[in-house]
Amino acid sequence: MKEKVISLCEKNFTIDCIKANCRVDGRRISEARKASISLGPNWGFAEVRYDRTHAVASTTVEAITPTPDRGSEGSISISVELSPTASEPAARASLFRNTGSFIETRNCIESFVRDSRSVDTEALCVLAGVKVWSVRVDVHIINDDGNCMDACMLAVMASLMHARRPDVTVTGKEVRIHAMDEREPVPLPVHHVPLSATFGLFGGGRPFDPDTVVLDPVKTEELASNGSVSFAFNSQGEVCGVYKGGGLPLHIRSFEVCSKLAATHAVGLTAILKAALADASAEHPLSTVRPMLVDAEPVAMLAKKESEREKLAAPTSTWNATPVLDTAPPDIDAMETITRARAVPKNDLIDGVFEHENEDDQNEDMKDVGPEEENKMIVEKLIRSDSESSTEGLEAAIVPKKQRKERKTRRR
Amino acid sequence: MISEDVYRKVHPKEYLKRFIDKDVRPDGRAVSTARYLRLTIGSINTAVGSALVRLGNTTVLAGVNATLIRPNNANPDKGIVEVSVELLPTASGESRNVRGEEAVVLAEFLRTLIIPHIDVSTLCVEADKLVWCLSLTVYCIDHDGNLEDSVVLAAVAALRNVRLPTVRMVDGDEGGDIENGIENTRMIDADNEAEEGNESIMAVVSSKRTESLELDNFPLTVSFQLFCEKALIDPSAEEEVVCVSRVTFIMKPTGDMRGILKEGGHILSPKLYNSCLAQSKERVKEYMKKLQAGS
Amino acid sequence: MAPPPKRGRGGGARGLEYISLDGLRVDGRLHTEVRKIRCSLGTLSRADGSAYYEQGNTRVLAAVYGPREPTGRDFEHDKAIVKCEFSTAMFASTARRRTWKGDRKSTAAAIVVQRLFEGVILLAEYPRCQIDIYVQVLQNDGGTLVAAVNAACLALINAGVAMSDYVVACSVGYVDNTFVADPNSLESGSDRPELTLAITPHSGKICSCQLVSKLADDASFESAMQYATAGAKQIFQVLEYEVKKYSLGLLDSRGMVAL
Repeated sequence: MKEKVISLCEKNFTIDCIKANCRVDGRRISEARKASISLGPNWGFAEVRYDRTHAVASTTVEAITPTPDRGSEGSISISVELSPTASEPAARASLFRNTGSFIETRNCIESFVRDSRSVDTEALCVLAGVKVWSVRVDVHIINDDGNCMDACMLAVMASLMHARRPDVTVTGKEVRIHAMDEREPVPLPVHHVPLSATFGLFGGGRPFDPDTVVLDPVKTEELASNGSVSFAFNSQGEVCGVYKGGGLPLHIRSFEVCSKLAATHAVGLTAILKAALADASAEHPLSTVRPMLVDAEPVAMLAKKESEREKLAAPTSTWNATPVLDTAPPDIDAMETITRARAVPKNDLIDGVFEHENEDDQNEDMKDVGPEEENKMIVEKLIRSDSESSTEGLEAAIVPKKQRKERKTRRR
Repeated sequence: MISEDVYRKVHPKEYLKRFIDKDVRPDGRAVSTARYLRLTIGSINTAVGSALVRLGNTTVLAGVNATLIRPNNANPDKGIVEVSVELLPTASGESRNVRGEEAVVLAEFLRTLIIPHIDVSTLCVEADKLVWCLSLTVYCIDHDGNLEDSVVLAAVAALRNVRLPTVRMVDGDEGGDIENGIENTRMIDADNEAEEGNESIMAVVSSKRTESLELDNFPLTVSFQLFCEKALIDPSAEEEVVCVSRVTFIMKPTGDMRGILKEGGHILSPKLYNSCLAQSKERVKEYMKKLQAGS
Repeated sequence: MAPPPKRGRGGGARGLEYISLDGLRVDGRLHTEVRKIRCSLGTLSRADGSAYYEQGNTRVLAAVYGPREPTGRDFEHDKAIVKCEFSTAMFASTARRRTWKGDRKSTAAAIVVQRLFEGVILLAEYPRCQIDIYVQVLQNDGGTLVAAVNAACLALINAGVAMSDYVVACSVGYVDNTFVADPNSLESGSDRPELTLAITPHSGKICSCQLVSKLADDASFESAMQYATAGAKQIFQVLEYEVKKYSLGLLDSRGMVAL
């Protein structure tokens, strides 16, 4: 399958936008699109939208006889399919299912989910050597507008956390599987939730050119980029997997910065995921059992004391724990929050990698707003659900420059 | 006047003929001289038996894997030997289809030659319960002609190099500890595992490999290409492309002839036949020397 | 570079201690030591470039064909395309292999190698051409992807394909609470964290990175990267020496240099 070819002027425009720290859809280079998750009527059905990228995942659990060499462990397998509706090349190539890039995505997700032991396969055993649960997650990419990797990963995790398996009674050597409506179905044993953040890489490609990394690339950016790197983190800040399959050689400092950004991103995403799960289970007609949440609940994160919240944020950087992915209506408050989030102290790690304008400006902003106010703003943003269209976003990107200057003068 | 390289590419047959008329070949050998043979035995330590054959630039690697399985119902007291040949893309850079066809032909050739000589009843540990399954895989790493001879020699050398651990059956549980270098292994037939009620078989497999395979009277082959009423022993890739008739003599280790394989092509006159036979006998002596030196 | 590891607790599935009291591993190496490397260029006669690479007991053969005419229908008008095939011999590992050549690990590894070299080879130099990289694992004792990358790099150099820099790979495992460079098959199980890193040694940039399984926290990830980079630099010295030796040999055979 030949990837969609991008015209030179589109490519140059995209790259110039990125150099000016304002992307094609108005976001900053370290800003992700807002993720929206909807958990379906059936258990284990999850739909994820990253603005226009749309992926759907469904989990099915089946009781099988285990293979002799792994008698006391269940299994988990993931398949990723590109639906013909996803993009024009996909429709043309709808006969050829497993193209190169989707094998990569599938392998990547499987490695992040399976090898980091997010689902406890030993807890999936019913009776050793006789019956185990085999979990299968099928992901379909309905629309591909860039960054299918993250959308699929979020869909997979949402689906796994929302899925239920039938309850089972074991008496001696006999296993009795109850029907879903006979007994309350049981959630899957998910230990931790790895979520990924993908960055598109841009650069000259010659050995000593500076690299630019862009979080959550759109399709045009993906086509114009020189490769990508994906990090999977869970909300405890543990790195669950890294995948950089070639492409532009990246400096180790950029790598470190990306990993910190990914860690913060994962925290925010986990919050959204848990909120969605809480909503879904509240609505589900049969649910009297709350979903099995292994770590902190979403609201708790916000209500925690300031010191604890600081611990959650990346320990060595001064990034605030603001979920950067939240593209709330582009008003001044939002731009300010994001600006503050990008606030760069005199830190060698980030210099020269992320382009940003007036450093002095941002440092000043940082000192002004106290932690309590920040809290409030964060809570407000999370409650607000709508996101504006991209054209407004673009406008907003151009507007605040003037307004920020005004604010600066006002403050002085 | 065109240069030598161009002439070689454009008129390969004439190019070769010019050499053969003078009783030499393009790589400097005489018509009846084979290339230098290098045989390395037992270099792959993850395989139970292995051999690497280098005939000039032609490189062939054979390896044998052994696993314990439940025998099939048709032959409950016989082991299984599987033979496969693969032409790697490193060998000649040809497309997968071309390589695949050549590999299938070679595999069939090898199978018909080798399998009758392996006594599969010696591979049985206990009738109806446990037998060895040997899979011989031959990889052609570099193709510079005469793959037939190299493949057969490598396969024979690898099989002679096979050393299997001793296995003895046990009843009931004997624990799963490692003691005195003998490891208890629980063997279940991996192929028929889906059926419920298959009892598991306990066997003790020693960690040292001592038993060798009995390979009586193995075959060795010597190939010739017929060209302009001369027989070129051990043809190189360039010669194989030009010449179209091959004749392969299948010999016993003692030097007697066992068979001949000739698929069409030019006529083999009695005189040429006798000279080829004499050359084959000599060549077999060289093979045996190398085989005995290696093992 | 880092202090010697704490002594192993004697853990492991079979009561095996991966790191002994003296800080030595199962095969006698230190935790920062890479296995012994032997490699040679130009081993195959028909390939445009070839290399045989051994790292401890892992043996890999790589061949490069190209730049040549595209075999399929796809080609790029302004740059070359890179195709890679990765296969493992049936007898390469002691575990029983029933899967055929197109199994998941091989395809994943092939994709990684292909993407990796797409970023390093100067593709614009060879428009409408195809470069084929074939890697064959002859013996597997852990670190096959690492060996594949290193062997492919040597083979590309042997074929004379223009690259912006060498590409050197190294992997880091985690046993008995210590990072170990270049784990062998015993030290790298399916549930152990393993980081495989490929860098361009002159600029220190990361071409490819794969972390499997989770690590305790971000700080360990950074130190794992440091271990891998240090290991890769050790390997680079060996590769560079080998290439120089081979090149001098070629020059000498043409009478251009008196050795």
